[in-house]
Amino acid sequence: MKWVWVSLFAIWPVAAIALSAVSPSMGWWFPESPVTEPAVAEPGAGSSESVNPLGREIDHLFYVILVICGVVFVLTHVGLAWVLFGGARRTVARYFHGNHVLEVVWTLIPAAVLFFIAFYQMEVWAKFRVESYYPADVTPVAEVTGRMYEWRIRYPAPGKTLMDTPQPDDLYAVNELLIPAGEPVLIQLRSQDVQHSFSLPEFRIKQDALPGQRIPVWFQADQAGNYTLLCQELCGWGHYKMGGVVIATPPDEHAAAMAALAAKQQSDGVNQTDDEESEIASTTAVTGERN
Amino acid sequence: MRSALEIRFALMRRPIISAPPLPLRALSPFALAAALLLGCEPAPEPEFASPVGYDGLLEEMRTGTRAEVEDYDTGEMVERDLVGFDQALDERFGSPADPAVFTTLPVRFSSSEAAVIDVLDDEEAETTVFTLAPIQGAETVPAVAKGDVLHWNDEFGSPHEAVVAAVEGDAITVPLVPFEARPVSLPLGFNEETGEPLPGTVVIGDADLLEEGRELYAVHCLHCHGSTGAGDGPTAKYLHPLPRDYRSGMYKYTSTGTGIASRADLTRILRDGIPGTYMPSFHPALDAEKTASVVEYVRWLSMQGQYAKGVTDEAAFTYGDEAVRERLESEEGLTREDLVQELIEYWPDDVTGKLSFVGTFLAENWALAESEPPVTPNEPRPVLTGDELAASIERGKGLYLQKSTQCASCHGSRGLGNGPQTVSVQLDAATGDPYAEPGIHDVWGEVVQPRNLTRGIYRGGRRPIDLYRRIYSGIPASNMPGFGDNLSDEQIWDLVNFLMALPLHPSLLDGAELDVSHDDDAVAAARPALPPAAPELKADQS
Repeated sequence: MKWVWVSLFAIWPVAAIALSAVSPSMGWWFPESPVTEPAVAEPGAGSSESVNPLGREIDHLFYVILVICGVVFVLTHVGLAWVLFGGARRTVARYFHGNHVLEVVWTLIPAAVLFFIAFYQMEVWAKFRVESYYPADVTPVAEVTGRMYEWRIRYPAPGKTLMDTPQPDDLYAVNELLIPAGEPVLIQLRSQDVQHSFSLPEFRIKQDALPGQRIPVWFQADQAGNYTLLCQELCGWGHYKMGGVVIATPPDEHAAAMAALAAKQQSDGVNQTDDEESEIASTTAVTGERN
Repeated sequence: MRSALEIRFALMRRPIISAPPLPLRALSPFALAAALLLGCEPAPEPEFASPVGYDGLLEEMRTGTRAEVEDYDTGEMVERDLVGFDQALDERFGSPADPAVFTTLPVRFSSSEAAVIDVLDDEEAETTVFTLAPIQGAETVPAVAKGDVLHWNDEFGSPHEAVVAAVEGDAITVPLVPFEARPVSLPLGFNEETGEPLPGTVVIGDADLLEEGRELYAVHCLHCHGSTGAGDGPTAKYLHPLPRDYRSGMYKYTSTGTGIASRADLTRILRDGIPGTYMPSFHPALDAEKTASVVEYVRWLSMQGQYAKGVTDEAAFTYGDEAVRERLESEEGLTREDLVQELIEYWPDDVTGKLSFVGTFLAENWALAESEPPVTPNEPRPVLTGDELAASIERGKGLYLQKSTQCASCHGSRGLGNGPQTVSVQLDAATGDPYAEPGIHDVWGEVVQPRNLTRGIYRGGRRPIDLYRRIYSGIPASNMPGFGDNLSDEQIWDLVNFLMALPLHPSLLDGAELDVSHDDDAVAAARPALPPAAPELKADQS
């Protein structure tokens, strides 16, 4: 019986290496970006490379950590197997009190590895989180508010900048975030009720939305397409419903889509103005002088 | 399942000290896994609940009976089965999980429907031949095979079905169909040019579109709206406002100006959700096709509820619990048997006729919601800027505070949704008794909070046309009255401009008070905004 247990533990390093080798081709690895529009659902058909430049750097970190962990995991298990096979041959247990040198070594080595990871990832972390490290040309495109169980989106009117508070000519949408492809964009993330997590798997972006806080998140779609938007913080019974779509289109098409949204938003049921140059000035003029 | 349990019980009964024999020990994980995998018994099949008052109807009316009645053609007395409401409702609607085809209703039951443009009887062969044509909007007649079941309604809206005996091109042979059971269009319509009656529709096979909608409904909607659409799903009790009970056929945010929603209204709600409530957006989880089938299923649930309630109310008038008791008390010597005899005599009117009347009435109303154009202003919203816009907002503010519009009596003089009506005791329009708690009540008996107009959250949508429709037609079932008859388009647009500016500038209503000094002539005739509450009942909470 003991040889069964020994073999069972000895299998793991082999299994880990085999799984790691097989996963990418099976589509079990990273979420895949579509090759073409619309999203390709077939596993393995898309590219597992992130559409987001920052996402690719995050993937690189992932691989670095995977290699470190993989090497440590395999070495540990080979060691474990060696000890087990050795121990299995003996029938009498042996007691020894401990080894000071060994303790120091296995504390210092992981500490060194952790320090390496901590310093190595700092730049990517700063690019994602620290505003002064954001790309210089990043444009705030929308305020995204998580709500049980949907994403409510507020855009500035075409040609205007996103303000912290609602403006008379803001545009509103739900679960559908329009962004221009090929340029860095920024959203301001809010929550109306509980914690949600704004997650774009194809962009490797995940950021919790906290009630009472406005959190900037930037990303970039290198290619046009429809991407998945998910909530990845269990937020209540309807958590699974909280999906959306990020639609990245070339900048001119994006501008047209925003203009169409503006026209739709101003609909008075009579003048169904869907054309791009339509005036959207009708509610824009109440200024601050009243206050 | 049983064997797994038996093994587990066997294990439990054994004395703890002696371990079970090895084969049992080895088997027990598998037994446990099997029990877990098999799980519990399947959930009971959902059934439509009877509307209030249904169980009080004369039993024969519900269950049907067998009696001697006069035959239409021969005039002789023959013994016949008289179909009661139970069976009629079951034939017309089936169950929530297995919808029946009832083509009287303007619902798309199936993807295979065809128009019947000609009906020919062959008396000798005892067969009838239907000539089929594509329905409006379709290009081809769906495939029909021998053995398929056809469903249609007759001119009284009763459902019929027949098994296809032979198919020859577009000519479908079925067993002989009596003249009065032939398919006709409902609501009855005639071709405007030729004057000929419009062809009826046959559905081939089951209500497959509804079943598709039902599956999606079960995944996305059922846990709040309930398996029969009664708004009583397991999560419903945690929500305020409560999820819609579809069975009354009343919807709040419609473009039709009535409580009946068009397909476009329901589609928009599914796509945009209802901000300020628990109704989320189902975009992009439900694409256009899936949304359409859910919408169709929800419409059907509404019609089921309305139909059952309509039939019950009609019948309860003469054969309800109370009506029967009153008649037995007031008429000397009248027994229950006499009433049953009377009911049998008037069965075609009191039972069959009511089933038909309620069906056509419903079908017409729901068809109107699709065919009538949505509420649309005659005047477009003026494009205003600067001082002009400020003046329009000022006029809107004046209308808002005016006594005749009574906006502020519910929404409050500061627009916070806390007007005096929200703390006064109201009377239940149905019974005339005061409600237990103060506040405005909707037709479902729940307290409704008037919208806080400074928040910028609009349940029915935030486009100018959405606000226009809320003001023009009101919000059905909620006590928000419509002002379409009393305000001009220009005035409504002034109000819309004011409402759109208010969330951004709540100071617009700083120090505002209800204007009681004078009424604008144009709105002097505005009808009361609320059912009059007896002044002495006003709770002293304000």
